Amino acid sequence: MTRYIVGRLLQTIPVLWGASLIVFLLIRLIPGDAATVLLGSDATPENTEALREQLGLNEPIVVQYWHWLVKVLQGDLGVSIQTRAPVFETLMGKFGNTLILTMAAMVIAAVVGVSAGVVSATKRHSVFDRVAMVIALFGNSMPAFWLGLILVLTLGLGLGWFPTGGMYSLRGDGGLGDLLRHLILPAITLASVTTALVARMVRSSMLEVLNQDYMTTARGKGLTNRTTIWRHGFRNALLPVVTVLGLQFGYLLGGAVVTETVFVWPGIGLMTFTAIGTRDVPVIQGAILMTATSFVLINLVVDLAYAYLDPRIKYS
Amino acid sequence: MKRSTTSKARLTRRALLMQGSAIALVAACAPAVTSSPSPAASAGPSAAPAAGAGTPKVGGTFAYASNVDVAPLIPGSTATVAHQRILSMMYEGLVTQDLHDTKNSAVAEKPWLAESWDISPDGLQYTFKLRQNVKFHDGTPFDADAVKVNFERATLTTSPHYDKTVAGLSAKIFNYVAKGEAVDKYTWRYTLKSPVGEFIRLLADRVILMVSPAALQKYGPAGIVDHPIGTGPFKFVQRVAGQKIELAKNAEYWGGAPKLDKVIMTIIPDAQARLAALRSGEIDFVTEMDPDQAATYRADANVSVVFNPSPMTWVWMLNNRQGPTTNKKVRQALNYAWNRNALVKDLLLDLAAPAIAPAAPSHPASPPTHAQYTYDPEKAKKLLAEAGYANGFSMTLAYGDRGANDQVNTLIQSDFRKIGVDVKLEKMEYAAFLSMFSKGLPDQYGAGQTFWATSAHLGQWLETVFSSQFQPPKGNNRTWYSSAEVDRLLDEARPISDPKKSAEAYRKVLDVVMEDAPWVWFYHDKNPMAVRKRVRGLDITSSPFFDLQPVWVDA
Repeated sequence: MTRYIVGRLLQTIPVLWGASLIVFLLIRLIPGDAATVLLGSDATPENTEALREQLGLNEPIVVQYWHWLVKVLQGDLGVSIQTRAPVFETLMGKFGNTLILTMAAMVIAAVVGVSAGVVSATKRHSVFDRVAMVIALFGNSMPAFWLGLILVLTLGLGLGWFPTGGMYSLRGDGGLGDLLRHLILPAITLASVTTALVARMVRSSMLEVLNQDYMTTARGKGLTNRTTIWRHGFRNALLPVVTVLGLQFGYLLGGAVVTETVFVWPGIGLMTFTAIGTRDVPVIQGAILMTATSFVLINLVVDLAYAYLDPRIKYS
Repeated sequence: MKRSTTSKARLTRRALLMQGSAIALVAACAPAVTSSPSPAASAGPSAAPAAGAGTPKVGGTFAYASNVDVAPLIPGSTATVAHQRILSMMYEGLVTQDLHDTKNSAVAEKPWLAESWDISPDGLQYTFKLRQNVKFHDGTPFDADAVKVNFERATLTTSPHYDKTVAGLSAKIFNYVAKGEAVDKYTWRYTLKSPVGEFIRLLADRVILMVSPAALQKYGPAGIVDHPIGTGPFKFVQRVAGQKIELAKNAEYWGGAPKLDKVIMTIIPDAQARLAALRSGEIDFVTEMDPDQAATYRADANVSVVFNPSPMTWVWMLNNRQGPTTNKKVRQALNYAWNRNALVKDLLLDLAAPAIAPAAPSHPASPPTHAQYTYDPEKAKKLLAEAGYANGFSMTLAYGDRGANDQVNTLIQSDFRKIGVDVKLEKMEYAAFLSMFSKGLPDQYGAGQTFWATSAHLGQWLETVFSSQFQPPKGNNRTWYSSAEVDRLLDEARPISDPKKSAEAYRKVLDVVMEDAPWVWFYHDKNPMAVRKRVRGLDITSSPFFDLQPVWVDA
C-alpha cells in the first residue's frame, strides 16, 4: 500500500513539470506581455522596454523558464509582476478561500444529492422522484453565472437576507458568522451542477443495486428496509458516486472562475483569471502548480477510497 | 514674469476648498476654460448631490470598487488611472489639480506641497517655496532634500533609488529639465533647457509624487512597495492582492485630518457584481459602469449617477503611412460618414457626447476653430471619388476587447459600408492588442481603435500623439501622422506660458490636425459613475481623480 502511494506521488512530478512547461510556453506564445499591461495605454515602447528589462522579461524564454524552475525547486514561486507580492503567500490565501467554498459546495452536493438520489431510487416513479429529477435536470443545465445572478437579485438585493458578494463584509471585523453569511449563496451556486449530477448518479446506481440478488437475500434474512437500503444497497452503489465527487472536487478546486467572479469570492480561480489578463506569469504558473498538485492528490485519495469501499480492490 | 500666491491667500484656500470652490485663488494660473452648461445636457462635470451640505460626520468608512487590481503602491510605476487614484490619497506632489473645481470643464492647477512658485522672466527657472511643517507618515519632515531624493529617483542613474520605469514615465516632464536643486531647506528650483509654458501643469500630472526619503533608504527599491509612505491625507494599512487595499486617516495631515476613518479600494472585475455591491450598500462608489447599467443605477433611490467627463476620446487612429487612408480626402470622408445621433443617442444612451475634435472639450486647445465634421454621407462619397476611390475600398480595424467597443465598431462599420468602405473588424485580447498597437499601427491595418487616459488634458499631449518626432518607439504617434506644419506649431506653442496664448497656440495645432484628420474621432465619454447618497462632500470634476479629505459618510 505504502509503495503504491509513493509510486503514485512520484508519478506526479513529471505531470507537474509538464503542466508548468506547457503553460509557460503558451503564455509566452500569445502576444502581449506584463510590462505593456502594467504601464497602461499611455506608455511608449521605450517606457515598456525599461520595465521589461527591470522585470527580466527581455531574456530569452528558455533562460526565463530555467530561472523560474530553479527557484521553484528551492521552494520559491517568485513574486507577482502586477503587485510584487510573493506568489506563494498570495496563492495560499486564495487557495484557502477556494477550499472553503469548494468544501461547502461538496457538503451540499453530497448531502442533498445523495439523499435525493436514494429516495428517488427507492420510491421510483413517485411524485418525489419525478420532481427531484426535473430539478436535477434543471440544476445540471443552468449556467452558474445565471443562477448566481438570480440568487444575488432575489435573496441578496431583493430580500436582503444575504450579502451580494465578497467573503467578509468590508466594514465588519470578520468572524465565522460573517463568513457563513457570505458563503451560502456562492456555495449553493457552485453546488448546483454537482448536486444534480450526484442525485442522478446515485439514483441510477441504486436502481441497479436494488435489483441484485443479495438485496433479496438481505431482506430474506429479516433485515429492516432501512438497513437493507443503506448498508447493503447504498454502499455498493457508492463507487461511481465517489468517483464523480472526487473529480468534481478536484475540478472545483482549480477555481470556480464563474462563481468566484459573480460573487467576488477571492479564490484561486478569480486570481488566475485576472492574472492571465495581466500576463502575470509567476502567478499563473504558481496557480497551475497548486491546482495540478491538488488534483493529483485528490485522485489518489479517490483511488484509495475504492479499496476501502470495495474489499475486492487491492493495491500493491 | 512673476507669479506667486500670498500667505493671505493660503489662509483662505483651505476654507474655500472645504466649500468645494477654490477657483478664485487659482484663476491667475488657470488655463483658458470653457464654462459648461448643466451636466445632463453636456459633458460638464457634476458634483455628488448635496455635496458639502449637512453636518459633517467624523468617522466611518468609504469603500469604492476598482475593476482592476493595481501595480505596486509606489509613484511613477505606471500611468493608469486606477493606480494613480489610490496613490494620490497617500502621496502628494508640489502642484496638484484642483479636485473641487466642479464648475469648469478643465480643472486648474494649484500649489500643494509647494505653497507658491516664481518663474524667472526668461521662463527657464521655476523656484518653488515649499510648505513647512509637512511630515511624511513615518515622521520624516518634508523639505527640499526630500524633493531632491525624489527628483534623483527619476533622473540620476547613480542614485541608489534610481528607478528605470519611473525615469521612463517621468521623461515627458524631466526631459525639459536641465537641473533640479535645493536652494535652501524650503526652496526648490528647476532650471529648464528651454521654456515650457505648460511646466506647472505637467508637474500636476501625478507621475511625480513625493515618497519619504527615509523610507526609500530604509526599505530599498524592493521593500518600499510594501511600505508606501507619503504626506497625503490617508496612510497605508494593508493590501490583500487581488482583493483590497485599505487606508486609514492621517490624523496629522497638514491640511487638516480627514473625516473618514478608513478608505477601502476593493477589486470587483465584474460589472454586475459592482452594481450589486453598490446597491446593497457594501460599497459607496463605483467608478466604472457599463452604459446599459446606468438605468438600473439611476432607478435605485439610494444611488446617484454622476458624470466625470474624462479627457478620453474614442477614436479610430487611421494608418497615415500605408493604404488608402494616407490620402487626406479619404480620412476626411470617413469623418463625414458616420451618424452621430445613432451612435451617441441610440447606442450609447446619451452617456457620451459626439466628439468635436480629437481632443476632448476639457483640453486647453478646445474648442477648435476649424469647422466641425457632421454626418454627411454624400459629401463623404464625393471626397472618396475625388481621392480616386469612387468604388470604395476595404481595410481592417484592430481593437482590444475592453469596453463597449464591439457595438460601437459594428455601427461605424455599417455606416462606412454605406459609402463603399468595407471594414473588417479584428478584435484582439486587450494585452495582445496594446502590445502591438503601442509599437505603432502595423501596415496591414487601416486603423486601430483606442481611447486616451491620463495625460489627455495636457497641451503637450497633442505633441506626444501628433508630432512626427513622437512616432514609436519614442512616443505615442501610433498612427504615423507627419505634418511639418504641426511640428512647427508645436515648437511655437511649447514655450508660451500665458494660459490664454498657450491655448491659442495649441488651438492652431488642433485646427491643422482637424483639417488633416489623421484619426476619426467619435465620442467623448461622459464617464458615468455611481455614488451612494449617504456620501457627502465628494466633488466629481473633469479629472478622473477625487479628493476624499473633506468627504464623510452619513450613517
